[in-house]
Amino acid sequence: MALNVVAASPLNRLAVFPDEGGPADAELVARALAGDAWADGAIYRRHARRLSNLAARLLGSRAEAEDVLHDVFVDVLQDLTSLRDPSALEAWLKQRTVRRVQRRFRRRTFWRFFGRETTEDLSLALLASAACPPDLKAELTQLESAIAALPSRQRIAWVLHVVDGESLPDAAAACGVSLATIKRDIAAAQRALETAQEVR
Amino acid sequence: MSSDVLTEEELRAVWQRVQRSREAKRRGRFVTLVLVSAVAGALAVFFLWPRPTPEVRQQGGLAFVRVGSGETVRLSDGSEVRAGAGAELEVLESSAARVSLHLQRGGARFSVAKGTGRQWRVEAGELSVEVVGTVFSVAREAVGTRVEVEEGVVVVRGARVPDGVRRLGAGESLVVGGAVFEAPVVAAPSAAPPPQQQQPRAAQTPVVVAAPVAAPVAAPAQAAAPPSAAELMVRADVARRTGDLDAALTLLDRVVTEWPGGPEAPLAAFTRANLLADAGRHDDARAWYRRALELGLREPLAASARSALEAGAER
Repeated sequence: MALNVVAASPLNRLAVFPDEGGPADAELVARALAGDAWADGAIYRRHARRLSNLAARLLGSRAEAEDVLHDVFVDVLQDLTSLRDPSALEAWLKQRTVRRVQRRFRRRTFWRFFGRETTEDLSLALLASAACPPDLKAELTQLESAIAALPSRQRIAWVLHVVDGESLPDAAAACGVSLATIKRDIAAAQRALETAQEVR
Repeated sequence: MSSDVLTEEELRAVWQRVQRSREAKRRGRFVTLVLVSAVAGALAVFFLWPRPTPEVRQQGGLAFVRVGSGETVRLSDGSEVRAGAGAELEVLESSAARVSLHLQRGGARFSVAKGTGRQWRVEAGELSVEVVGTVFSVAREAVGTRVEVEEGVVVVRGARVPDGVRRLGAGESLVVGGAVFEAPVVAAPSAAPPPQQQQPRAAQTPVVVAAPVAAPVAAPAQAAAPPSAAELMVRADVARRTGDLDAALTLLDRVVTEWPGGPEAPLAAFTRANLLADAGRHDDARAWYRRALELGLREPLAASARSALEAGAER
């Protein structure tokens, strides 16, 4: 079977989110900075769903995705002054989410040392949009264990770029690494997944 | 259509958690601020609270430092001033190059840090003590002003100091009399020099007393208050100077008997031993040298006493 998910890069987005109307991000940020509590809620409503799905795809855990979403918004709403370009709110939120996910992976490694494994209860196939072709979902299901075995950095880079459809510069920015590094990580993940696919 | 991980209900629940966490953080920040303020306030009170001693007051542009008995004032250069009961020091000048203090009453011990290049001067009545790096005491007593040097060298100036100026080394002391005394006279009780020591007796002089020749010697009973050890010492030296050896010996004996724990006692015993040795009463002299050592005679006088004892033993 052709390895569509792995070979085609970037792939189609697995989840599609409609753009909500209302004030632009920059205006919401300005109002939040001025102490408007409504703007805080508006920022959350606009981005929470997208960020929780991103965290879930990266972590494969509903509970952890919920915690990451909570932590990200507690942090960012307190730290809005450090956002230099208010119109880049979405990218900034994504970056903070990825950073929180990285922290979660480090925590998993720590607990694994003490024999406590984290169970991933979500599969990429389940998270795929309804429009996703069944053969692609089947491929994702087959790849689940190989993806879970990837080093966290490669896994995040690969999921951001291949599964989430982020461009290489955006994925690099979200991970806080250079373009060359993100390319290397994605390539390494790709090779590992292809090897796993061939073995199967 | 996307398949979202969290339902609308769950997203709302997360938002409520976010708001609760932010509120808790705000409260935490407030509590932290209160705690930090409380700690800062406590520290400020601790450091800025006026100490009961030393008391510092301004008067006419001058700073007065009044310190209680046994209190020690530490200066920035490491020097220390320990004052006796009721001592009052006036700061005449304080700079990187010079410290000038006026001991108005009481006594104080000055430990001047060495190597700072800071010149110290202590004015006490008619005396002016100049020093760079030493340990000495100045006390204003009923009989006059006493200067005692523990370490280093000081230069004492004053109208009643013999020749107007006197250099005091370690172990030496100087008493300049009060109003009852008229003219400065140097009286130097000397020890019988041990055979191996060839230096002149003046170099061993432990006490330099500026006092009048004609001052009353043996009339302490006439005073309303019993004479102090320092006063007895002065009288003893005057008696010795006037050739009244017995009176001098009696007065020195009184110092040792009546103030055995006082700072004058070992000096009195040592002086008495010297007088006895000069009079050829070597056995008595040896007994008093031993007594001086027992009373804690300080170096270099203690070395002199030991040498005299060894010389006597050889004889």
